[in-house]
Amino acid sequence: MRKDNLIIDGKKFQSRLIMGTALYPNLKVLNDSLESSGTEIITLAIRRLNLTADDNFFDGIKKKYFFLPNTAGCFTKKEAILTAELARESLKTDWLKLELISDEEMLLPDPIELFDACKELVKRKFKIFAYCSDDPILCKRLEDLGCLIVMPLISPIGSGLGIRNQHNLEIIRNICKGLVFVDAGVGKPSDAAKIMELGFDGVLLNSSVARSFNPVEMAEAMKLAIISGRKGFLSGFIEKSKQAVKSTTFSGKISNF
Amino acid sequence: MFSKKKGYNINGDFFLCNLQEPFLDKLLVKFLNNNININVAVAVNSVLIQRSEWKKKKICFNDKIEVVRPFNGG
Repeated sequence: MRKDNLIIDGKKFQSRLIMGTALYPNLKVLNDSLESSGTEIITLAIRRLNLTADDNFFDGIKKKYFFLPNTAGCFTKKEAILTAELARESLKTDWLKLELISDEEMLLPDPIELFDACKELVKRKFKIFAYCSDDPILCKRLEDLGCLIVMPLISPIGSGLGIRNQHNLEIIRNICKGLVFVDAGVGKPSDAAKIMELGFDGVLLNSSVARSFNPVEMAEAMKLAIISGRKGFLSGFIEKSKQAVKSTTFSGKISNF
Repeated sequence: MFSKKKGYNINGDFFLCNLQEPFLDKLLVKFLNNNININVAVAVNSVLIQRSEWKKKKICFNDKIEVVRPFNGG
């Protein structure tokens, strides 16, 4: 198999899995899960410092990863831009997972606020990983705007519903020529494998690992699924046929009785 | 006589503090218990103040100050 490195912002990555860091039962399970996932990029939120709480999250995670700060929980462009600036200052990176949600129940991305915020943040030299809905035109417009990675959901955040609209995903993969990851909605390793089989460049996930019965094992399962799906995609699938295509020749068999 | 307690609005709470010189760096030293080298970022009235500017940034009692750091998130 030829080398299949992922290149993001000029940096080579072997893993195509970006891991979220929320909802783990404790720091040890988080660190062990990140390790077993093989990830090289992890995403973090930005929140008010609480001196009274036992907030040792950032001190406790290994610093070998590339940090991808996010704007989780932002509803407006103004809120997202300030969070982005604070994230850049705090983590010394231009990378930003831009997340602008529209409501608290479904946590669906707000495409209009998102597009506006992207425009401004690209001007401010941020490298945007745009979490968005699975609308092919929106994805293409975000790519054209200069987002580093377009990241459509496959179903709502934390739902574990898996792929809801494969047709849209196929169109997105077809019309976006740059990097496209899937973010949100992965429930099972087979979802991750399917995404990679469709030709996507990678997967960002969190809940499906963190909320599983055994996050460390599930993280590894996701890693293997992504590798498997990617190898399958690169190897070229056979054409589907409505009729059987025999694999064993009839010639040389014993005569019919 | 009641004396009005002096302090600043940090992260939505009142932080009791009387500074000789009302500069952001002095306030943060007190707020963070001298531990200012952690990965914090600060905004005053919704404007990011870069670390290099903390010494020069004068603060007022009615300023809204946000002190943030990385947190677990997905």
